Amino acid sequence: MLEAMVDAAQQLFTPGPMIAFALMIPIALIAGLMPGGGLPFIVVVLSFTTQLEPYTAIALIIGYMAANDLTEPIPSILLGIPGARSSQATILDGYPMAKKGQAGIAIGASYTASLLGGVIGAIALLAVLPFARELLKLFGAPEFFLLSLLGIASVGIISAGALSKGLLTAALGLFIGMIGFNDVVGTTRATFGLDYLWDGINIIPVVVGLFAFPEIADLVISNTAVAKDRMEDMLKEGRRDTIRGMQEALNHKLLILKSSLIGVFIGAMPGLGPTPAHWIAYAQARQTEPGAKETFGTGDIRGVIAPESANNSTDGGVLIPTLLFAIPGSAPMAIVLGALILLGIQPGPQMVQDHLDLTIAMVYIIALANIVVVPIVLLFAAPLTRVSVVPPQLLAPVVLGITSVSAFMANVTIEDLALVSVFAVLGMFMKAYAWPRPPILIAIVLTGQLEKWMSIAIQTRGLSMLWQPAFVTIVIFVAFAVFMSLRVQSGTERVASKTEEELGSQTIIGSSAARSKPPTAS
Amino acid sequence: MSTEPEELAPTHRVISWRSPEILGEVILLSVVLIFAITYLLELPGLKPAGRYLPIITLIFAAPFWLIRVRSLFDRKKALQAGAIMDLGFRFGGDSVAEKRRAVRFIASVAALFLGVWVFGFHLALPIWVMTYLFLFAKAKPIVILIIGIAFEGLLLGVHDFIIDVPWPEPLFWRLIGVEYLFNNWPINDTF
Repeated sequence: MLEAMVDAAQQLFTPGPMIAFALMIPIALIAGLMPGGGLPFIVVVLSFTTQLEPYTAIALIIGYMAANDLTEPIPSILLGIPGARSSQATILDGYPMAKKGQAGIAIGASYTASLLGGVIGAIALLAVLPFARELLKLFGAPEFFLLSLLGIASVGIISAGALSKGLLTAALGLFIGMIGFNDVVGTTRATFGLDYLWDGINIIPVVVGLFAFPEIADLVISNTAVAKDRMEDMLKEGRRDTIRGMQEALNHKLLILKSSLIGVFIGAMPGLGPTPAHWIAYAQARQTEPGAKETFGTGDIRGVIAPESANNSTDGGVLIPTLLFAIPGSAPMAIVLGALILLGIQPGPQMVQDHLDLTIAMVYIIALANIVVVPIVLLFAAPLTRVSVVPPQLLAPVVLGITSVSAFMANVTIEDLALVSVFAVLGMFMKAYAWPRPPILIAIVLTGQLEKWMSIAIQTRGLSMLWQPAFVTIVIFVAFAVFMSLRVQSGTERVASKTEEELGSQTIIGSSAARSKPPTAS
Repeated sequence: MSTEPEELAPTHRVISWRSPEILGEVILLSVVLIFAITYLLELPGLKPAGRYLPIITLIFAAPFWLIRVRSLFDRKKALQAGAIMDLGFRFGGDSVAEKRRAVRFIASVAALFLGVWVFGFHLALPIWVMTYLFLFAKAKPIVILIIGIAFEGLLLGVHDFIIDVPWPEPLFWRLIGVEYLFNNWPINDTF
């Protein structure tokens, strides 16, 4: 373990990965603050990763994810707009603070909490690795196969309100993932007579169509713009008192620790991600902090610290199921899985056996992104905030153009764009009518390894694998994890609704209010 | 027995056969069915190792496909089923304007892809971006020009000179019998 840590540091802290990391930080910050979020631009990063060596690619993609998440509190606090779903709770106290002229304090506190939360999350991931490594040595092909299959199924179950929608999309993902030539099978399947499909479905057009295009469409169709006069007032406030905000956050170390551990735990549960984590941390702080029931919702700094610590610590937590069990906690994590596969690295149980150094490098990058990006954001909060108010009609053609070229780079054929169109139609329908998109991507990403492990398992053990102790243990463990995740999910919706009902706010998860426009002027 | 008001709130709604939600789901279920039939037809010709996953997926998908077909005939949809990982579209009050913008978005993307197929990225993409900015964003001419040049610069600088992408011949160039200029860009040989 120690040797891998040193090796990872020696490989990562070299000019190539560090230059890539430095170049990516401004892109991640600007992309994260753009209306529509940073997801469309991840495709651009993804399209370049295949050209790079693994450490540089990891510095790019994990750094992008971590830096991207750090932009979320700015629009939440200064403009009352949730930059992403995982910064909704921050609005409840951050925006009232901004309205009271304490935007700088809120931003300072929020980023200090984010920084500490991110580092705690990275340490938690590092701490889990030695135990996971020993545990995973007990697993063979049947267990790996089962983990992959249950990983796809569990994300399908958790990520949809309707079980049938989630599992059907997971099955559709498997059908799509099986298209083309397969080494294990030795033949092609479901190519429909098209040569283009012989190589299977490349994930870049899938990500562009399924995720990037619907986000851009949302941007264009909703045409949300922010009143400039209000923004200028808030930006002036945002520059003041950030140091005081940082000191205030450090006065609440225990709250940061508690909230960060909530973030790590929730993030490690398959399919949940940061959204429930930040709501639960907010609700927990409101219940347990002295006098919080009266002051939360009116501009209490603890109402900013708790969700932001939890939000950022999930980055480490969510990588636990993603890297160790190939069960991504969110759509961006599914993209990380896809990127690893494009690099020739199979995520999942063998990741910590064969590529422990790379796994540890991801921990370093998460910590580094937090340490480097937080001061940058604190220094440049005002100009960065302006990015979030770029008119959608100006932004859309630029993002569409860049993502289209990136999608085309998958196989450099016009069929790539046809594939994007197919997945864009699917993605827009799914986004509009609450069909979960991540299971499709996850299934496509995992089909190859699923089939490989299944083939080995059936040939070596046959049906006797079904009653092997490790096999049964995994079934029980995954069933428990899914049960817990479903409980957390429904609990989160209750907590969010109840909290906002009590505080009289309008951003309730899953409610029609969340789908309406944020408080902006068009 | 007392009944709270929220307990009386409807948990389902019946929607029209002609709604995009129903039509979209019909298409989605048809796609799944086409895949299922394709894999079923291919199964006899596959080696045993190639049959396992299609069979498992077919068995796994069948009950959920039937459940969705059943719900489709009932035309009952869960209200805002908790898609916890997705925000959905942020529809506001002006549905007419939103529909107009949606049509405009889809048409412009189709125009971009058609343009790329016919003329290639180097011509179609900067022109499309500039046209979009001119027509819909009402941007200043200097902004339009800078963004257009930036796109051409991205294609030439990154994709041609650094990566040296082998662009496929666009339709127009094939029709006029001229080789696509950007595949034999003289500076490519220099670097």
